[in-house]
Amino acid sequence: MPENKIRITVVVNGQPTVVDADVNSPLGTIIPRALEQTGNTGQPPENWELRDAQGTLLDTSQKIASFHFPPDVHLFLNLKAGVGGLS
Amino acid sequence: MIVEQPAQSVDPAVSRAKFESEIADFRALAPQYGARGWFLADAKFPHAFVVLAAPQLKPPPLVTGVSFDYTDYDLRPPSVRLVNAFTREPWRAEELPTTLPRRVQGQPLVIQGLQMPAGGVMPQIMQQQPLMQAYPGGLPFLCIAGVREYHDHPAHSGDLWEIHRPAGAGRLIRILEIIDTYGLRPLTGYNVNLTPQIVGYAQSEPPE
Repeated sequence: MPENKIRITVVVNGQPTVVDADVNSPLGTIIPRALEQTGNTGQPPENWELRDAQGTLLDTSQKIASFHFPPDVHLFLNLKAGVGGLS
Repeated sequence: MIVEQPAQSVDPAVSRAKFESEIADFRALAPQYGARGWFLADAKFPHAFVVLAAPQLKPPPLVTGVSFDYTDYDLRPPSVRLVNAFTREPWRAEELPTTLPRRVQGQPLVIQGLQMPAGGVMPQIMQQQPLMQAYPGGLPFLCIAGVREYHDHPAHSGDLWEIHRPAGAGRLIRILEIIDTYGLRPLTGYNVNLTPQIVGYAQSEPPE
């Protein structure tokens, strides 16, 4: 794999998929691809949130390289809570 | 306790296959979820029972159990209840270990007599909105799209399950992530109530 590429396992609502990404791109660029690969349609990328294995919310505007992910990294992409608690 | 038993109208083989897919996805990454304090304790179609701990606290508590019912999935979303992790009895509203509070922007603050400059924005206050809702005499429910109790509520008749289903809103991991985000991760310590009692006097060394 070229030096500027990284393979990230993205777990979308529990379902893993592998996304190849450019380390100089913003982290958010992996979201539409992970959604497409897992067939998660109907909600735009901004309605999802990306976390690391510890559950920490990641800033998707940052370059992928800035996170220094290990080669076997797993990130977790889940649909946000949305509007709720308003009954 | 009366427990509503929803009917299974979908071919049970379909709901069972989808349920087993949810369970398999959890088990495939069980060590990672376990590190976050999520433990799948039981899974037998249509029910799954997950225990959530708060590993960041010392000692780490089992904060709550979560009971899922995937009957009629995914024609209908799963039922989700927060329950006592030991007895599996649903928490009543006053017993909930967390109401899953989220921070939301409130209405603009109107201050009588305050003149705002042209283009100025009135200050807004932040409010807490619990995602766990309850009505008198009813069991608390998780009030988000993707949960059966939310979509069954008359106030949400305009927010159909069918809109949220394609994005996996009812999936086990997604719902656990929300409970963890608002209920578990914000926990930073224990609140302790000490009740001092006077049991006598302190005194210096007795004189000779």
